[in-house]
Amino acid sequence: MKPMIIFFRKSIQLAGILALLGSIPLLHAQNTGTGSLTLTVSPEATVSTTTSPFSTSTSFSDYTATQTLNIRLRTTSTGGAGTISAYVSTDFSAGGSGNPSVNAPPTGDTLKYTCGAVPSIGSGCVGNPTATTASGSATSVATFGQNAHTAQNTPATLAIIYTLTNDPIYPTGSYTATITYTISVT
Amino acid sequence: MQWCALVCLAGAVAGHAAVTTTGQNLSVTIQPIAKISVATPNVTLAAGSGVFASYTASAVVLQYKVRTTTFGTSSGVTLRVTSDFSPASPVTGPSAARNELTYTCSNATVPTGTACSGPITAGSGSSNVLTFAAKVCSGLGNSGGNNCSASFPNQISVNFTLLNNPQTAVGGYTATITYTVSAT
Repeated sequence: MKPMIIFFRKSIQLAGILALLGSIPLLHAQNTGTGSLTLTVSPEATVSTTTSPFSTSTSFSDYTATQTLNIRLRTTSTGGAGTISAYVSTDFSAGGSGNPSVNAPPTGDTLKYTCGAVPSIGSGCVGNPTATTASGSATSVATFGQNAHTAQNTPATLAIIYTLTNDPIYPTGSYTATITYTISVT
Repeated sequence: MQWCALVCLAGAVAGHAAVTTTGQNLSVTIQPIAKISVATPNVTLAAGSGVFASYTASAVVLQYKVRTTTFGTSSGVTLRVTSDFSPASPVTGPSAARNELTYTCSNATVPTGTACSGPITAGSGSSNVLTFAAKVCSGLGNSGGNNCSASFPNQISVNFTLLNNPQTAVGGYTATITYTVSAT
């Protein structure tokens, strides 16, 4: 009989615990609030460059150098556009004495450029333009249409191949010119 | 007989002066409770300095009141993006769904909670802003063994940052954030 008594006592205790649990209200409270985040996205663009130095492959063949433009841009969906223009902001030299120069070169010498692979989002330069030192007459390097976007993590690239006349009159030495690119978008 | 009448009258008066008292119980059950409001409900994300710098907003200030139980260890404040940036179509807009929206937390006034550090990616699922410890309350001072704060209501600031993705179309966009406070 003793085991039976213990069984009944346990059952009564368990029933009491369950009844107690049933009387406990749900101990949980929750409340919410809302807010908004608003922004206006505008056209933006940036360009950076990497450059290889001028070199020549055979005697008195023209010097060539490549500048690669890394482009990130966003143009307006409807009616937007973008351009990249370039000019020689620092010449190889002031000219004279046979020195290489874009602004005052020895007779017939030029600095020209062509465009390499053109990003799918725009159009590169056409033909073989001659570089200029006049910022007001900067020449076009690339154009972009409306709703043009580069990828978030991978900028578009555009290779510009420069060609400088290899004139025997040039004094030996090292010369450096600086090209300034301007990108603008709407 | 007259003497008896006086004595008997006095005895009767003494019998009416008996006083009885009764009691009534007042019971109260203190429940966990929490309430939240957004003090700065509408904030604007502005472009950072520099081309394609991320957009940042002034802090979203959340104000809340809370009381948790001694075993309430699953209490806190969360947020989720209930409406992603719109319009999303037909152009490509900014997107929390693409993990472009993140946040950090600052200026929490509750001394017994743990504010998020981050940056944490905000999305359609709930993510943590603040975790309450057990047995905390707002505004009663540190008394009675509870971890209560002197400030009332309490507050915490949430600072959002949105990626400035070149693929995002030009235009205006709005997203809705829902903040939830819970107490157990």
